[in-house]
Amino acid sequence: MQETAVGAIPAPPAPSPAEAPRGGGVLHVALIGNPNTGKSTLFNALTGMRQRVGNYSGVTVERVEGRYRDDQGAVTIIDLPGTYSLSASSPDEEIALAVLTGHAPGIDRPDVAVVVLDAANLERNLFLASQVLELGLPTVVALNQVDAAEAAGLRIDAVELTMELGAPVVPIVATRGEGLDVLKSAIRKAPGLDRPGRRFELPAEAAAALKPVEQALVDAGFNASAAAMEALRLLAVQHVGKHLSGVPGLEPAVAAARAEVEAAGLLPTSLEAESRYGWIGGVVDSCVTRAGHSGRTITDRIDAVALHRAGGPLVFIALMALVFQSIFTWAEPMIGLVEGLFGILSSAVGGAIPEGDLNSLLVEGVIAGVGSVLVFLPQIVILFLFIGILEDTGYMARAAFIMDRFMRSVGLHGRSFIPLLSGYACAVPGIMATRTIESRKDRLATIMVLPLMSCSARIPIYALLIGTFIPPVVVGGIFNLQGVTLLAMYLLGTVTALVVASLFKRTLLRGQARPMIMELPPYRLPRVKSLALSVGHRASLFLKKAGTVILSLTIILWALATYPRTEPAPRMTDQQAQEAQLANSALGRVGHAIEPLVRPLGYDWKIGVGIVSSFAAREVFVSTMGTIYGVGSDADEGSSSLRERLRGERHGSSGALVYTPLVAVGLMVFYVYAMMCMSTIAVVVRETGGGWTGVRWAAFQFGWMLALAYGSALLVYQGGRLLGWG
Amino acid sequence: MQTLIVALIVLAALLFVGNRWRRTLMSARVPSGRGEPGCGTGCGCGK
Repeated sequence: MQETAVGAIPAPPAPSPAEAPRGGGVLHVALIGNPNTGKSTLFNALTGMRQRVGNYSGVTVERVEGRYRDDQGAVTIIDLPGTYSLSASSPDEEIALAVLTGHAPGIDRPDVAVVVLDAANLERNLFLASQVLELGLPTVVALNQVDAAEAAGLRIDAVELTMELGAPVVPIVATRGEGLDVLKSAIRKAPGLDRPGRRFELPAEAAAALKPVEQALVDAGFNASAAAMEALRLLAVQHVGKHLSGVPGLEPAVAAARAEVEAAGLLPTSLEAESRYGWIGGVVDSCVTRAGHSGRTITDRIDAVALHRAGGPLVFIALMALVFQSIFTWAEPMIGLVEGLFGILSSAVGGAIPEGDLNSLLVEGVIAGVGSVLVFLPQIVILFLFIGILEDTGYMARAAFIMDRFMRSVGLHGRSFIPLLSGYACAVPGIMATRTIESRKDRLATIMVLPLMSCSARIPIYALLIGTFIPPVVVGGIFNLQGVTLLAMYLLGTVTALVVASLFKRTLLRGQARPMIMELPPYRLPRVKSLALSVGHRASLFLKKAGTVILSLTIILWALATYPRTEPAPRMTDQQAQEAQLANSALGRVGHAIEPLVRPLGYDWKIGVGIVSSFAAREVFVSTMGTIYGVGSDADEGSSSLRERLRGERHGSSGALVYTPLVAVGLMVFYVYAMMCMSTIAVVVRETGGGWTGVRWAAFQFGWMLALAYGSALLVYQGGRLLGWG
Repeated sequence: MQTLIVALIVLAALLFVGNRWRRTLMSARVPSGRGEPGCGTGCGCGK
């Protein structure tokens, strides 16, 4: 194609010495591609960095960097968020564009851009590639998953594609590390090659109309090629993007260009898409050969059931029920084992250290408190193993597709699903993942309900209460009541999140629902290494939290439950003396002060203290119970588990059991709804605008969630009693 | 002696938790958009 044609932009020449890679011989590379092209897998394969590789779109939201060395020195790679275009209509697209144009604070403009294309979806992937090629950066195209494309009957001529794009194309299979040496070599050589540029022509009227916009951008320091790319995209977008907010006279120039384009009988909103896809169609015709067969693949056959309008949701619910059931049936023996180990440790430490404060701190505080949380590690491992399997096989993307229908029915953006899904692990990354949502109102609605998704911190609470008070009876012939109860807690949070989001979208955050574009990757067998990394990562996070925050809070709570010391009255039994000591301790006094607030929920002061302490982090409820019952136990009870102690706990006044199944269910409902997590509150403040704006949103969220939690727990307990259940 | 060791352990735990809370709350002071691409403040940085 002739670069001198009307509307075409001349390709920038080879770099001047001033534009050569920066000092120290370090080459800076930016990795960009559509979601689900294997970009993160390639990043891991190049750098060896252990970043989580998911199987659903939008896994990369945060800025991730790594490095590797080749025979000429070090290469740093920044893994940009997965994006379908550089339209800058969402925060992650804006970040990608700003980095590639050198307008991201603290990040130098990359020396080389590597565009990752999914060979099986070349046509759609080339849209982003065509935009990147116009930015005037040395560019290498990594044609990934060529094996999957060939299996689907697609043969891509990489040499022809190189000629069409004007940039080297390297076929690779990132999952197996194939083609990476050639890719590394191409990256190293790219700065010495001619820069790619626009490969298609605009209608003459449109090209003329865009000239003033391009000039404004060139005057602001953009190179001619990047200015042309930006000018064309600006025709279709509502906001110019933050990185262009300082360009003088840009918005009037864009408005004038739009008017001129319209006057010429063209549609400004679709001009870019039509121009690019027109060119892409020609490229695909000349580079791709399709084999004759088009039979139904295994993925098609599975999807016929998994995505069926009626059958799909049923399969989804059945799979989830199976997962939650397994958590209890499989983990129980391991929990017993861990409890036994802590019992032995407790006896050993108790025997080795003389009686006194240190002995009490270690045995009744640290081992009883932290140990009571750590016994639930097997359940966390099993849950994340299942989630990992669902992700790796490709089923999670189908779950997103199934849920999208419900999401849209309540007015939430389809893109809200992935942040909400992340919320099952932890609300903090889920809230950060809402950056992929373009509309601020949609984003706020998602953030407001995201902590309702049951995160892993709630697992110890659910597991303690369900395992202790819900009998393991069979329901419906195949399901275990414990597993069903756990599933019910997860569903309660999820359904409530959708209902509340619907309320927000109809009132405070009214706006239009938008559809989600989502790829469904082919089904594949889970990879053992990826699963092991994922589960290991989650387990290590849990252990780290137990060994730092929970340990420290347990020590403080032990001190509050131990001091001031109370001399036992004459003729008191050991048990009575321990109870009197606990009741007169600082913690006991605080607990008794707040008891009137929690009494209507059926709780005693110890549960009240557990709730207050778990404002720091939810798991602290379990360790607090462990510490309180550790400090308040006599020597005979020392080796019994927390679960056994809770079962036997009675009200001092009436002698009635403190924990009934009704109290346990009410307490779990409280924790489904309450926003008991300092880290989540902090991230909500930051992501809703920071400063007082963020504080107001976080306070509003904390308030309505606490009111919902208290009201629901009250309803469960008092309603259940009225019905004669407790 | 045991009481002294316990006092030091409790003090260390208090310092750890206090520092963790301070860091968590400090991180909330800056909105997510600031410091990232396009400062959007009209400060003249051109980004």
